[in-house]
Amino acid sequence: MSAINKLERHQARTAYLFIAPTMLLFVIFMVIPVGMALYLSFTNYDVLSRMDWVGLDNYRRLWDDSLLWLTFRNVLLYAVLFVPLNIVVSFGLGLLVNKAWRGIKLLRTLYYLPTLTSAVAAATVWLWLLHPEFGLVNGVLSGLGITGPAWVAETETAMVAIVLVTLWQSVGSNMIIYLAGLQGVPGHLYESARLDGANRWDMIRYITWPQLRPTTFLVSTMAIIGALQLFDQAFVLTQGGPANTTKTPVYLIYQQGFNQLQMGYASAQAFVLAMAILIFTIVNMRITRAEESVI
Amino acid sequence: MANRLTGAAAVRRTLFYAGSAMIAIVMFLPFYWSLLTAVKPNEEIFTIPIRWVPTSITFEHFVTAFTTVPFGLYFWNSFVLAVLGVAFNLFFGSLSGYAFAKLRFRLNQPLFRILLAAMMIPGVVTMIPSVYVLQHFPLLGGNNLLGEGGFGLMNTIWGVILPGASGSFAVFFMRQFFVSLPSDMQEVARIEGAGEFRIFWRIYLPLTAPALATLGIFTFQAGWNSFLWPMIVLSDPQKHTIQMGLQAFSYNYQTDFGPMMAGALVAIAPILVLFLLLQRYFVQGIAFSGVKG
Amino acid sequence: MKKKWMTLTATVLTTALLAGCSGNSGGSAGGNAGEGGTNSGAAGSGESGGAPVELTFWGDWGGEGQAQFETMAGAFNASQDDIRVKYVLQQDMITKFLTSATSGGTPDILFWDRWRTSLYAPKNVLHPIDELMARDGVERDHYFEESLKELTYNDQLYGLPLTVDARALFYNKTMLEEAGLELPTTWEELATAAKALTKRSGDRLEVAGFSMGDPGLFSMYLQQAGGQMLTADGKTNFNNAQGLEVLSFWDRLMNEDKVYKIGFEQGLGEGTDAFVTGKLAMHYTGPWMLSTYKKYGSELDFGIVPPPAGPGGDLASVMGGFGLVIPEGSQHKEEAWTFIKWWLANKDNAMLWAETSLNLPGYKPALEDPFFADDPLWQPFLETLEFAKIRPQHPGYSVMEVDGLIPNLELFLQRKQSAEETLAKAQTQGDKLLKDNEVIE
Repeated sequence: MSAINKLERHQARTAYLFIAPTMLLFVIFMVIPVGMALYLSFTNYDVLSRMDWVGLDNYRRLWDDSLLWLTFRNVLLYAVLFVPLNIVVSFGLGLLVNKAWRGIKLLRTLYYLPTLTSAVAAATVWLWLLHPEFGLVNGVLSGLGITGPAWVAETETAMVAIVLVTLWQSVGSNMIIYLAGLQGVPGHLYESARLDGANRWDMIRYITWPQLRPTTFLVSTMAIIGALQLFDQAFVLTQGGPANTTKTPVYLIYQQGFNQLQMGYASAQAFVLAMAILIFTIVNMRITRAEESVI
Repeated sequence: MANRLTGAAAVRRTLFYAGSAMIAIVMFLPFYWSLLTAVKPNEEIFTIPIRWVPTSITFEHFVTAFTTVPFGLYFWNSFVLAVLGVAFNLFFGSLSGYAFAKLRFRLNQPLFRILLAAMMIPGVVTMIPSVYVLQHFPLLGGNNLLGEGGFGLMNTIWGVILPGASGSFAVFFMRQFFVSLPSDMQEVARIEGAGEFRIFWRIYLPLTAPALATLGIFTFQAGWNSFLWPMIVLSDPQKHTIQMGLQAFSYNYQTDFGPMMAGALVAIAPILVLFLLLQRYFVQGIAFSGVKG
Repeated sequence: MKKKWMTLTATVLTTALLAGCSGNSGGSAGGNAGEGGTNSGAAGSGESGGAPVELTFWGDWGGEGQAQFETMAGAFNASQDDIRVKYVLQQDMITKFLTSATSGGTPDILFWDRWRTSLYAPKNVLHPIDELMARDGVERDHYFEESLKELTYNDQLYGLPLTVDARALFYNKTMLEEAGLELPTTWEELATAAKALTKRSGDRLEVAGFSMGDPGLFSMYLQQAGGQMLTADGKTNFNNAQGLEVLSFWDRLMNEDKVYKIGFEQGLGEGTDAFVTGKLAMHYTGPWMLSTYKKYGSELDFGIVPPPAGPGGDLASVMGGFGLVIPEGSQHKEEAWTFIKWWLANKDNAMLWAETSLNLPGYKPALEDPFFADDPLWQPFLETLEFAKIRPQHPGYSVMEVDGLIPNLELFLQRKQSAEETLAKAQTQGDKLLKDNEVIE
């Protein structure tokens, strides 16, 4: 008994030692600034001249801020579309390029290329592809007898266009994460399944997917954070329009804090956003069963 | 090889290449545009529809880019920042990721969840407080014990590196990969009398080579592409980075597309090279070759 | 192979840590080099013989813009021995200014988007220059009154105008001649020309006669219709007959004459400008586009006219532009003023700036130079500037436009909201945004 206790204590000591540098940096460069920002959210801080305690005024003002709630609705819609698609597509791509066939390295590189492409170039080409009259997308649609919309300019489709372009931009890196995850799935699991007569689909469904649960939790959590904090990728495409349909909370927070010099209020907005992300993440943890052990 | 394939396999392979090529075109198109823009003469940049085959090729934009911006210096500065970022994140990230995934200690779950939660707070509101922290870092940059009097870590590369030296993402990322490795190797090694660090360094870490390679690319890319924070911290033009240099082609509501794309292309070359080099770690089975042997 | 990689990582890490130690000690020695303008040098003015006072000048123009600023700083430095001005590029200047405001690293001269004055002046971070102006006899008459107004808060002037701009109507000469049209001088003529210049094949818009892509131009149209954006007490003032007049004009262009289509320029902007490529016959833009069009549009033959008058004959355009200001945190305000005066209150230097940067200078005597007065592309802007007015000076004005007014106008242009509803909603939302962002005493 005592030997086990000793081992446990030793393990715990080692663990604290291992995480010490991380936690030290975390406290200095994260906990302190976040604490300060939290304090600022109870002040009228304007960066330049004022920092007086105003109690809950900023949080009360949030109630009436219909624009903020509209931007919340926008990113929620975005997240609901973006996060699942992102997982499905990058998982699919990961499977697709998890081979040792000829030319596979070239394919992987090409699929990764969007994350490296300059944002301006990406926006230019996508806006052209999605152009109502001269774009390739509507060209194909009209070939099918459908009149395509002005994708980024109409209120109904602007967000869809942003989902499309940001997916294009981000699946490459998530594909690589899945690819790295796939290298860790023990080969013997597939071998015994094959002996049991499982087909390709069964193996993906009953072995690969469950084995990659930690990877999926990683990808989905990062996608949720990225989706709800969406800002510049959307901004280069639509500048928040049309009719505020693609404005996002981080856009508002930036504008309020840095352009309007109301950093106190911007901080309050930011903490409400963080709460929303936290709730989403907890829901996601339940769905992906992140805490259950894999093996 | 190919002629030994059976009919069905050959069909599958053809389908695979056809489908992959379609996806590849979509993925490649915008990049191709930036490539074209970099080598097109100015008069041909603005055309409708986009001209996908240039009638003439020029390298004047590269010359402009290199003469407007001291690329050599900025390249080196960014390289230092990115490499240091990778080194710190891989080491600290895997160390703590391993601890959170494989070691039992009471604060394991709460601390990990706090790390995760911190990522949810938008960086825009912690930016000014972070500058305050750097500025008032005790005993550095002319500061006294209370962090007053000097500039702390402002205008040093450490002001850029340290806040992200063990990013929550790196820890989270590595933890998720360690979690999926079996724990029994740990027990065996302990019985054989191996120390905890040795178990981590010699047994588990090598198994995460694909993950480390991936994290390496991500952190390199993040360090290489970061713009706002280095701009805030580094005032000395001698310390400026490549992304700060690339901003030089937009001013007064105008954008110089040719040199901008030329500069951007040159700027992504190192990431591309790194990506190609690290692909060797994405070979199936590498992770478990060690276990079986 | 794996082992080698690990060793490499470890080596790099160790080197990094060692370098870090030495780097830090080095950093503390030279810690304030380049940290802003507030380093060595006596604050007193008029010292002679000693080391020159070093001034830091911040701006966010890089590349050619940076070269233009450096030309000016170089010419100034060569003209005297007491002051040395150094231009420092801050790619995101406002963020940098705000983050360094907490650390005392303030520059001596700031390149300033003038409309920000109403936001920053109440925070006491800009230095008023009225006394300096009066002492040195710099005449207000040499500047557009509107541009000075934009740099004024509570009757105090905070800087001098560096450039002036206003939007005018750019038209494709070739297309206009082919259609045999006269230059439009009224809304009516504008609509006629726009309709005649529009080319369609079936339902497909081939060439748009006139751009309706920027609803932000509402304020210009409203003034042409005889209205004002804000009331004297800082409330929106467009939910009225003039506002309706603008919207019915827009409705006619968009939906009756169909001279434009929603989203037509998105995707033809940025790298693929619709005007350059002949997909757009007329649009409103500013003098900053002249060099872009000259550079990319070798086959484009274009001309410019002042904005056509509204139904009541009112002329209007929105004036904007940059200025130079002195931050209150500067240790060398006197020297900074000397530099600003040299640049912005002297015809030769203002001309040097104008010819270097191809901007309309804020100093009026320079605008009388044949370089501008005799150039058919500059001349329409000079005409426009005579009646152009600045945006209302309310710190919440741009938010009101961007978040309150324009979104509603977009709904109107997409026929998802009636004119009356659009103006009413824009008024409610706009008034709230104005109130939330007004100056707090």
